[in-house]
Amino acid sequence: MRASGAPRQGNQLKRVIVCVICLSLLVMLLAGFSSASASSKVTITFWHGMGSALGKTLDELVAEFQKQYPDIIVKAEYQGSYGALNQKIMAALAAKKPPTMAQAYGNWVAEYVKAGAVKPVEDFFAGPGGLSKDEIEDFWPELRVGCTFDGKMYTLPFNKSVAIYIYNLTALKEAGLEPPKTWEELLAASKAMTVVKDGKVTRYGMVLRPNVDYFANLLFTNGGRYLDPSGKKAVFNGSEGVEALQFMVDMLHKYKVAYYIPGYADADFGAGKTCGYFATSASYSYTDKAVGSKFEWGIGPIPYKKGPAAPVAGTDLVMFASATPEEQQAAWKFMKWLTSPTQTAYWAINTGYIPVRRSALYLRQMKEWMAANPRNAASLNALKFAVTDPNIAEWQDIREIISQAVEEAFLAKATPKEALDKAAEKVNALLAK
Amino acid sequence: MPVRRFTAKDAARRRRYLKETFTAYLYLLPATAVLVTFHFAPVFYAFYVSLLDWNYISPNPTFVGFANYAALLKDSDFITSLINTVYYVIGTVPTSMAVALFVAILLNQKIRGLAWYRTVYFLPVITAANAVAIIWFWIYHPDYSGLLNGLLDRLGLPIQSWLLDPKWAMPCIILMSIWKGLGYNVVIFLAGLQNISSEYYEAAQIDGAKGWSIFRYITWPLLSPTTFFVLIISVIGSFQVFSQVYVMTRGGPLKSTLVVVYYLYKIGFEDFKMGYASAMAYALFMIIFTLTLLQRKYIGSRVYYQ
Repeated sequence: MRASGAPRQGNQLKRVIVCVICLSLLVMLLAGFSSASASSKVTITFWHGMGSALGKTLDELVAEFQKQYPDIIVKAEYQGSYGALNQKIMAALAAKKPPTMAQAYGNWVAEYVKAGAVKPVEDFFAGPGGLSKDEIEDFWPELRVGCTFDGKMYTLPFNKSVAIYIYNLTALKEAGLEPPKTWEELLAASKAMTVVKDGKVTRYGMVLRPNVDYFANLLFTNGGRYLDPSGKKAVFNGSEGVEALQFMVDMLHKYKVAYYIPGYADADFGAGKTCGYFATSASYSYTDKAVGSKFEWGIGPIPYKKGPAAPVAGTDLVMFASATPEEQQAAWKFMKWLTSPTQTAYWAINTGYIPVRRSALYLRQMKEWMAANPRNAASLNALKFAVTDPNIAEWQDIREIISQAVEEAFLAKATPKEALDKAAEKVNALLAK
Repeated sequence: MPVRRFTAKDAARRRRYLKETFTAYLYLLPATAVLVTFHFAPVFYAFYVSLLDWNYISPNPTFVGFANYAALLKDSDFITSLINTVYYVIGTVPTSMAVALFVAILLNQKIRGLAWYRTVYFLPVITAANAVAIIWFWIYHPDYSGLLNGLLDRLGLPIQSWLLDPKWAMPCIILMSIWKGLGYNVVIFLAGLQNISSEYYEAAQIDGAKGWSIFRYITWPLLSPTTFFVLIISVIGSFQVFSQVYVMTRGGPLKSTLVVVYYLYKIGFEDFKMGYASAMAYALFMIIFTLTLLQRKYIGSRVYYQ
């Protein structure tokens, strides 16, 4: 008995093992079924370029959306800088595997539209889940223009920041000055805040960057524009543009109250090397990090010469044509939700971007926030003077041409007029193609 | 002539031969697959793309023949980038080789802490360009807080804005590149030096040769295959300079550091003009290929092979 007991025990063991395997297979099968039923949920991918604090706020919004729409799974994926984002979208489009939706600049979208890769948001406006005429017009008109290609709205405005002047309030107070509102006051304040020791400048009033954005801030506040209304002819080399560039060159070389750097200026500002710079409202968090508690700082609209203007820049939400109709419906719900007054207000309060809907300014939370942050409110009030970049495919090239002209003038290789005339010629040739 | 009959023995030999060949190809397969997929196929595909006007995502690219190549000749930025690249090559290759040879000879002596020195010289080679850039940004900082400017100021010389100055930006990139690439050449020279049999030196010493003449008549000729190799790969590598420019200046200021590969990257992966970028890549390939052939012809014949 004993001798035969051992193999029987072995058989029992085998049976147990078989049972366990069968059971676990069954469990796996059931799990498979349940995940199959989970996949009746729609998953959409959203590629973006919102790093650090901005990305955190975006993730919070996504989580909130998931709570309200449990049948939609949003995979928000950070792709790195904007440059990297565009490269990845282009590569994904080439491989015919784009995300469902993404953040994109107007001039990128122009390329995607040309390739027939975009599903226009206008297709979703009609019907119960769409947007009414009033709701559409609630988006800032300037921003809508940036989303429209050949008369059709392809994208929805999303993260738009307004250009601002950031200054060292402590230094300004020491100089006994009010925050500058005009170019003249900006120059006076920059002079007052510049410190010279033993013939060496140890602190500058202002820092400039040799790029198109700094130029645009002054061009727009001097009543100028890049292109004429037809969008086919450069006008930035008119007297408004020449004065704008001359003003910067004079700050550098004539008054010696400014210097220039190619990169971002927040580190120099935080280190107390410069007492002022131009940035965008989305860069508060970076300035805050750079300054810490070293001194008080303030923000205001870009000082003007002819009249206030608020250069607005940033990306829109684009949906790709290759997604399935279900995914597109889900993506539309998400886009609509993300740009709704409540959410755009939350986004604005937490990031410094502007609310893309006008009615958001009248929401209680927005009003409270503006009352508590009067300086931010000032930049939002300037929004009625919003100016945006043209959303044409050639825009990247044009930006580089103008930046080059600005750099030439900074380096005194050409007078502002010569540099801008040459740039305008190149731009006109490009637009005539 | 009697015809030799094909025997069963021959058939067996033939089978074995085929089997061996098959096995050999089987062993070669993994490497070949990788090379074909990631090197040869893209090379040929790039040539095809260079004949197109294509933005990377457009479903119907236009075939333009050799128009992209013709456009290169008229593109002033391409010409600028070519001149800048030649400036860079002339600035880096001879200096880098001379310094590397000098360092290699020093490291070939029996000195204390040899392994440590060799490691130190090789470190910059394997350090990422971004990490290196942070140090060099500080060295080249445009005001008094910069390392180089601090030194100039202490010596009573006027400070420079280095990377912001079109006149200085390229020399700055060249200096940094020489420093960064030095260790690689040192290692190759060192290998070459150790290949030279000590008998030659012993014989020379017996004949009364000293320092410079030992170098001139023993080391230099016997090292020439190594020197030639270093020259060829340095020229090829320098023509393809990219990362230093990408992290330090992005081609600026005023295109003074715009080099061919950076320009190509910008056209291809920022402006997405794939056809034009591919044509540029082929133009660069032809230039490097021609130069290499010329070097082989005119310098290669003077190399002394043992």
